[in-house]
Amino acid sequence: MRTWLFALLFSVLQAMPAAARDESIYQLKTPLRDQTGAAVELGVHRGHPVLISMFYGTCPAACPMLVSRLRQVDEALPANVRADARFLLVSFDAARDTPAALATLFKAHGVNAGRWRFASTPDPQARELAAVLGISYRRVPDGFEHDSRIILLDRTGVMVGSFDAFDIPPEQIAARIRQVAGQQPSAAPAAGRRAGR
Amino acid sequence: MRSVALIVAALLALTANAQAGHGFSSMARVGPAQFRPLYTPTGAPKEVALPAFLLDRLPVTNADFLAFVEANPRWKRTQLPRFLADEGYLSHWATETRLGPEAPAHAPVTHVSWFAAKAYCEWRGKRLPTENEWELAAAASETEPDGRTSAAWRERILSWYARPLPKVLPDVGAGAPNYWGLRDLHGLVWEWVLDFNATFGSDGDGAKDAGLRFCAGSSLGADVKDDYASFMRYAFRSSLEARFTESSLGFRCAADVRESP
Repeated sequence: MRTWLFALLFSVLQAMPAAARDESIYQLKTPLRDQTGAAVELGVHRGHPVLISMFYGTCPAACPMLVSRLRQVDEALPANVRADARFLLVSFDAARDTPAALATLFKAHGVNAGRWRFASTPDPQARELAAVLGISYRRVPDGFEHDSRIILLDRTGVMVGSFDAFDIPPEQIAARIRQVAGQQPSAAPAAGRRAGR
Repeated sequence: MRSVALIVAALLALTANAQAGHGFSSMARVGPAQFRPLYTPTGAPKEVALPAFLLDRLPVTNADFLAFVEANPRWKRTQLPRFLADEGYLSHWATETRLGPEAPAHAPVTHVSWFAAKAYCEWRGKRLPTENEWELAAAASETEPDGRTSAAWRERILSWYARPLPKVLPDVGAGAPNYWGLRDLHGLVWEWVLDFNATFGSDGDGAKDAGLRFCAGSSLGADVKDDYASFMRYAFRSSLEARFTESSLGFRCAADVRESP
């Protein structure tokens, strides 16, 4: 009888989940300086679904295309979700992408000042943030080479989606944002270990 | 009063010994050098001027990393978010704070992500080496700063890569020191570098050709076509993402050269 009780207790304890890990990337506390000159942290949009990506201001083609893509996503959202969603673009190039330079770009792209933010962060934090977001980049003689990933964060800052900006149609990304906007915050990470392992 | 002085002296001596394994005295000075990496981006010069730097003579061990985890509990394997390390993180340790038989104290620590390696080095007041720094250090044979032109040396490294990895890794320090006084850069574990995906980018979804993922899409040409071992290292590093852990992947730390210690 006692053996059976111990076995039952043991299996109950095994089944209990470990204390939940905090998967919010806002715990990085990445310092950002935005196009208004404000000093904020990565978690500035906590409470909203956020689309986040990385870029640099003097990028000739891919970055303007990335911003256009994000605008298409923005425009594909229904009004209530649109009011809720936030778009955060962080530069790899803090040296050149000063608040003034970001402000010029911001104006040139004509994006909504209440819901969009361009920001930069110093090199070591840019490297760390890119690594967390899964964005590869490197300095080359005339700027940067980088891929075009867009990452979706839920209201608590957990990564719940990652999209290649040019492979995935804007409507599909918008649909995912609507899902996340309608959900309770997720505690589970979006990406498990890579497939096949 | 004299006994107090003796006790203080003894304590200082003890802490000095405790630091010997991972303080700056356990590092070697490498370079400066004009280094020709295996890969350079198109349009960039083929040689890179690397200033002198310090590099750990040995990989970071399980015991070293345990000290870090004990001092920084958020890095325990039960605490760390999955975006900072995958589920293999420190999986060879018996518990979150006990090494156990599969993790000998003086074996190189493995199953650590780039984030964990970077955090350890920063805790030591150091940093991860860049890819160019590591490759410069590893290009040295026992007698020459650049052993890469020797076919025999390249063959020896390639033969090490062909050996299967033992389940329990041997202790660090068994290999002969190279020209710079560094051991185990080859033949033990792969090692993280700061800019591990700088050359090809991370092939995260496995479907795209390396190099085409970048918006500028420049092609890279290998400088020495015979140096297959170096190519393997670049290819391995480019397959990594920062949160990955591997049984064969550890690290060592670097530091800038300071005028006074």
